Order: sequence, then structure tokens, then C-alpha cells
Amino acid sequence: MKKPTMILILLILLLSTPVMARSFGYGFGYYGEEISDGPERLSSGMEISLAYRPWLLEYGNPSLVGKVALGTDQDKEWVIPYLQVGLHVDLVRTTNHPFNFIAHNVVAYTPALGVFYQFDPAREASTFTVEASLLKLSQKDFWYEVLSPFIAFNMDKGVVDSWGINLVRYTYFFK
Amino acid sequence: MQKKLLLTSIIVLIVVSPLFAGYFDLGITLGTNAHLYEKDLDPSRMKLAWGLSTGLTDVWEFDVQVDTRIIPDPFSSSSVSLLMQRTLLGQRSTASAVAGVGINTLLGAGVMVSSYQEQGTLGISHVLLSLTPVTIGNPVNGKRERLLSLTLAYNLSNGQIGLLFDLIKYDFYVVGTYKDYR
Repeated sequence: MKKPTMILILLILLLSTPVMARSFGYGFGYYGEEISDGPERLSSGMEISLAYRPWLLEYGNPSLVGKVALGTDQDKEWVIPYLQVGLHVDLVRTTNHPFNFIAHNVVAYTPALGVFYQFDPAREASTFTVEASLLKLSQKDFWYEVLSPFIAFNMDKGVVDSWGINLVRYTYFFK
Repeated sequence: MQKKLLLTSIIVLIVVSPLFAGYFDLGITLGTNAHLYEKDLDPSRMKLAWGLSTGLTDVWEFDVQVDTRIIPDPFSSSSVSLLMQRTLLGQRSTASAVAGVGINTLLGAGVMVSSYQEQGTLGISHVLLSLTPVTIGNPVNGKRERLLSLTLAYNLSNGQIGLLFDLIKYDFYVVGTYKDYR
């Protein structure tokens, strides 16, 4: 086997190793959303998410996250208010924080910011969404997020399209 | 009026919390709440549940829970539920280094103080009957999760029955944990 081929195979193996790590997760959250651009629509319900976290970096740890929300609006109609896909970045990972009393074991504090492409199927509207998970705790196998607000911008109109909050979100990673 | 209720709730919680300190245990509650089937009185879509939980005996506890509106109009409306609850599957705490039952069920009754009445005045608005099918953890361990709590709420002003649904609540105990029984 030629040397370049071997190097290429080694590179592919190296790049694919994160896929075999403990990196895929699924999550459940409890969301509420209010559409502020256009006729008011309020909804709340369950959010389901998938996460791919290839690394465990101390600073700027990135993850790919996809979400779909399913709930009821103020008229008790079932709605899918948003689908999101984007990047979720842990700004820092530290065990030196004041929240350890809420867990039995030592848990890391990992405040995070997310940027997402968001699609509202009912209105066929695409928006750019920013989410802040400032109360996020992590262990190897889970994320635990509380009170994570998000805001969606309509880039064409240059206005805030909607906003909401995830009261709690639990994400578990496969072993 | 709503701000007054919120402020009153905070003051009451702060003032009464030392009274609980001599008892079995005291925990801080945080979780979710939804007020269903009374949208004409409370149009909330999402509420934050917060408060205090204290153990009075090994099987009885008293819970003060404030439900604060998040969606829509964050923090614009709150109610306070006062519930006396009993465990059905065993001791919640032994007041010793030996932990109580790890998985339990809670059944309780109480009242709600709110302005969710026909007249819109602040006062005792509902009589509550509550069932929490699953609790995981206990005070001695320092943390407890309460899952899928269902509370029937009889509205005294109009005779209607609403429903309070708490998906998940956490109790973080600051008194009565294993650290106190070392």
C-alpha cells in the first residue's frame, strides 16, 4: 500500500473516531412560545431534541442540535411551533460553581449559547434564533438546562418574530 | 394586585421559613406548572413553580408552592398553593442517617390563594386535592424529584373544577439531609 493511501486511511479513521465516542444524545424539554410578529399566538408543550457532541472541550465546546416542539396553542389546537437546527456552544466547563448542592455527584457548570435556523411550519416562516442556556449543568451522560430563553429574528423584515423559554430540558447521551 | 401577591408570597416564605428549621427537613422547590381548564380566569400557557417543602413528621409534609406566569407576560400573575401531603409508600425521612423510602407517592389536600375568581379579588380561591404518583429521592439524600403531579382545583367562586399539572418538580433540601446526621 502506498504511503499517501495509508495516511489518508489513518486520517479518515482519526476523523471518524468521535462518531464512536459517547456523543449522541436525545432530550426532552418543556417550552413556551409567543409569536410577536403578526397575529398573537401562544403555545406551550414538549420539545424533543437530538444532540451530537463530538468533544468535551473546556472552552467553547460545540454541539450540533436539532429540535422539534409540539404543543397546544391558546385555542387548544395542536401545533408544531418550530423546528430548529444549529450550533450549541458551551462557553466554559467548570466544577468550581455554587450549584453543586443540587446534585448528588460533582457536576459541571457549562453555560451555553445556541444559534439556530428555525422554521415555523404553520406560517412557513424561517427565522434566525438565538438561545441562552445560562443555567446549564453537565455530566458526561447528561445536560440539565433550566430557564433557557430564546428569541427568533426575521432576517428579511429585520424584526423580532417570536420569543420563548424552555423551563427545563434534559438531554441524555448514549453510552 | 398581582405584584402585591408576589411580594406577599416572597415575604411570607422568608418570614415563615425559620419556623420550619426545627422540624425534620426543609427543601427549596423548583419546577413546572400548568393551570388547565380555567383559561377564562388564568390564560397562562406556562408557569414556574417555586416554594418550600417541609417535613412535619416522617410521613407528613407541608408544601408552599408559588406558581408564577412565564408565558405570556412573564411574572404578571401568581398563585400560592398550600398543601398538606402524606406519603403512601413509607417514611419520607427517618430523621437519622438512615434514608427514607427512595420511591414514594404523595396524596394531599389544601387551598390556593389567588385572584382567579369571578370577582377577580385576591383570597382563598380554590380547594385542592393533589396526587403525586411518583417521587424519587428523599430529604436525607438531599434531593427529591416529584413527577406528574395532578391537583384538582375546586373554584369556590363559580363551582368549576380546574386542574393543576406539574410535570416535574425538584426539592433541594437545605435542612435534614445526611450532612445533618453525620
